[in-house]
Amino acid sequence: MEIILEARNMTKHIGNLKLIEGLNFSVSKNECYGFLGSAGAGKSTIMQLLSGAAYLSSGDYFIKGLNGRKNRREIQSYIGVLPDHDILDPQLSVMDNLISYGKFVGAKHSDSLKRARDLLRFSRLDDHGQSAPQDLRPGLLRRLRLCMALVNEPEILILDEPSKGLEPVDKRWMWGAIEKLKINGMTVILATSQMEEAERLCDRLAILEKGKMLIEGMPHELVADTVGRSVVEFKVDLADVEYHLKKIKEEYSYQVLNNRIRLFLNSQSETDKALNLVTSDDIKVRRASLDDVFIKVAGYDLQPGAME
Amino acid sequence: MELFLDLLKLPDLGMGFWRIWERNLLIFKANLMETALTVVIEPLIFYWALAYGLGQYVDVINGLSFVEYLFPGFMVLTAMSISYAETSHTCYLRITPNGDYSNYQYTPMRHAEVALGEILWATFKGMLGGLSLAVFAFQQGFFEASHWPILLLILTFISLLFSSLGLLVMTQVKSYEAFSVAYAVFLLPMFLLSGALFPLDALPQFYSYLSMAFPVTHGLLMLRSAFVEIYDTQFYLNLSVVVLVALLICHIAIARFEARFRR
Repeated sequence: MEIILEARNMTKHIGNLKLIEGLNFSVSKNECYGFLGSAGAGKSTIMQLLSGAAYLSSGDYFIKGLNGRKNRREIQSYIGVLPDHDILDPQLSVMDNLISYGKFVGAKHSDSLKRARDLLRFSRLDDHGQSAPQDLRPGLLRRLRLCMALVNEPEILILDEPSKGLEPVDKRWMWGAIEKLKINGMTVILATSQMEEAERLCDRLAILEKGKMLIEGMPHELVADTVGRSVVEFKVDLADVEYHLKKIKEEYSYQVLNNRIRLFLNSQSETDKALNLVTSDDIKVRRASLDDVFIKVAGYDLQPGAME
Repeated sequence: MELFLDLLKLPDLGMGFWRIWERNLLIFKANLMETALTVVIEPLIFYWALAYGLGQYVDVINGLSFVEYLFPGFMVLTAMSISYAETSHTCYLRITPNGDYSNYQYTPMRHAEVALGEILWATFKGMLGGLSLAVFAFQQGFFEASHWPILLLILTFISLLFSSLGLLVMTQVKSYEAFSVAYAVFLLPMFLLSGALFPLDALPQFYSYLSMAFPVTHGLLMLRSAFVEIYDTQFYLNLSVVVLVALLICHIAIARFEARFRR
């Protein structure tokens, strides 16, 4: 598979603050590569660096063989960016926003106009061309921002939290649109804090924490390698956690979340054995997910001292 | 040191500045009535009120009626105020976190192109304000048709100078309130002490010397000189001051804009 993006030791500091440190990764053509992490993990910084809106402190990245440090303009003609903040001009109509942005990326007026019309059709915003962006509901506004990213018919799409905060129906539209773009040959680099989004869209992903990459791989491989096939989760009294742990400590990989204990299991027989060992009124057996991987490797939403 | 090194570099410019100009034109068209009111009608109302209202109580100045005396100064001050406001306050509002300036960063546009585009747009707007008065004055017979080229030249460079100064101030301020300080330090003295509204002869000599430090004074002297068709050494000296200061401040403003937005 042709490598379209390669990052070597990408590092960004602002003063003494380390935003990202020593990141190495590569993205193949037509792949969807995701960065998963919570706020402050460094996702948006990576998106800003790759999109040319911010500059590296050290390291390099190459897009289509061009060094990002030296070829910002050329690279920006290959990429489309949906940043995590609004880049629409509230003084211009929806249509004029697209036309104006089209000119910013170097298109002629007639080409910008044609492209704007195509994109409004693609995003089903045909009826909103003359509206002000602020008059659109959030779901439609996000579609418009996706259209802005597609104005220059990019080969690589950089998406920073494309569906964050949207209603379920708008999320599904956005995910469907991204899948459609990928089918049509686009390479997608995605930053997300949503497991469902990462699981659905990403061919490979990296989990980030405090600017460092904790783990990287295909979602199903990450699940299988890190937490196994299934999870038995059960609730106990907080005072009894230690008692229950004694029974399972030696045999299973586990996590404690307040008064809930999660056991990570690799086979059906292991699951059956664990269920015989566990005593609780509230036991759930489910398939292991990316959520389990994330919590296991990053461990953020665990209460202090709760994880062993 | 960094500031000095920035100034030595030539700006990284392509034709992208034209796209910023076009974008501002789109906004201008979208808000045509409001903009026409502030850029064209408002200066005319001010001029009319001052010249014909206050002017009734003022005798002849330097052989001219107050209405005629006031016109060149008021035109230059109008171009100065409009172009300065466009690049200072208006541009500042575009750099707020979700402001318009964030969108061009994802395109092949260069910072210098954006800076120049804003400067040229504000120059155009400043000229438009000045021209509204010039057209009125021409209709009243305050100057000859042959004076139009020099009037346009002066309006262009005064507007360029103050749109560049506005952008330079915008790159330096840390808060919106700081614009009041910049206005008090740079614009207000020029507004009152450039000889635009009244001759400085009546004031102590110090004020005449001080006024020569203001580029707007040189533009005004040049215009008044052209209207009586005196093209002497002083005229060309004034022209040189206005042109050189405008180009220098434009260069510094572009360099500082690049430095501010390079992250």
